Amino acid sequence: MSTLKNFQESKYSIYAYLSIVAVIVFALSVFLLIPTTQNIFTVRDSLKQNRTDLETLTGKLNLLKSIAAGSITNFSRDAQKALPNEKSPSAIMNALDNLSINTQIGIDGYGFTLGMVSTQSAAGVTAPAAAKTTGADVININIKTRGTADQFKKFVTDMQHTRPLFDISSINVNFLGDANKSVASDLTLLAYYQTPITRIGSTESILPEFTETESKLLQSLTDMPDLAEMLASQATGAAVTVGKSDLFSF
Amino acid sequence: MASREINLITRKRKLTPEVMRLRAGLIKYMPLGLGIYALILAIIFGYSFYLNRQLDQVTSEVASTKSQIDAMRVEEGKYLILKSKSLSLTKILNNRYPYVETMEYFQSLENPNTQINSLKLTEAGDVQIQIAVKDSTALNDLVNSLLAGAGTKLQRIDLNSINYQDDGSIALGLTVAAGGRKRV
Repeated sequence: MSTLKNFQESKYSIYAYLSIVAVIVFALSVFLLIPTTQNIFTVRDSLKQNRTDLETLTGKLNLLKSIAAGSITNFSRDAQKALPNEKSPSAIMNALDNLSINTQIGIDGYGFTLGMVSTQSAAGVTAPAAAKTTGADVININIKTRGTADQFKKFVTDMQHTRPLFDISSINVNFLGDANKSVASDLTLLAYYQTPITRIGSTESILPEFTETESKLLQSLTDMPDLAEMLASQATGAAVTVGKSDLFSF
Repeated sequence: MASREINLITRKRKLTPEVMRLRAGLIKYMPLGLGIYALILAIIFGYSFYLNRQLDQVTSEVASTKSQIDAMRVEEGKYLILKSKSLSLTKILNNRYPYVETMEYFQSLENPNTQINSLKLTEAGDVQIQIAVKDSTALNDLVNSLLAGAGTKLQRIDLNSINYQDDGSIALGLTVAAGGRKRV
């Protein structure tokens, strides 16, 4: 005790206390303060990233909830009627028949180039012939028509303004020169279909937004007459389903 | 001679004034300095604890949201199908050739002396046309009409063939570039 007392009373004690405090402060700083401070920055970055992720995911979840509530059901049905999921020659023939009835033009013959009708898994990796620029698959059709020029023009106009969608590759019109202004024509058509996706992205993937043009177009589809629906009751033959097309059916 | 006091107790050393000042300063300021240091430590540990709690909470919310999204894969599929269809529909509907408009333009060139025999239109904009004209005057009128449409309706006019028929009429074969793809 006396030694300790002597030490405390000596002039060196103050330096010793000072050194001990400095060592403790240094140790605390090196082993606790600095790592904790560094950890704060890391955690802040992670928190910021997680909050951004949460915001994105919440937006996606809200969108999915609105879809579950039926917000896109009508658009999806209209789009599906315009661009069917399945390669269906019978539906195409029904649509063309109805078009000819509506415009009173006679269709003398059909020619289909169907391409592959089996599933992709059955046929290997070869995909159906797809129109490069549209992303949709196509069936090539040749038809011969006969009628007046006015009927033919209405036929072509209606074809470009009805569902399902047809594109016209070429038209060969022969004017017969009679009093009725009759025309005989050969049309090369493209009937579109789009096999539905069977895989979706990861949970974190951001859903692509609809552009203003796409939104307007989807809204305008409602006004397009549906040819297939008009003759649905007379439809014969089953549609040829391509791929696993019922995974996300409406 | 007056006696003098001597210090025989060697352990009783007198502190120098510098040491005394230092000791006094330390006694005065060290608690304050240590207190500030402890406060800094407390703030940093507290903030770190708060941030870690926040991170745990947000991470938990992210995991919960992900599981809810996973449960709605069918809805996501429906959305993506609609998106892919809308992309294709936009490309298809906005890139159509105005067949009827082009056909009506060429029909507008018809008159009793000029008759169109056949018309072949392709979506690339090439139009092959066979026209029967009664005489050279009608041919001249037709050429003038075609030239009037140059630059607006027609981009290119190629004369493929010209045949004089037995009845004196002229059969003209033309290839014309007309129109362009658009929303019809």
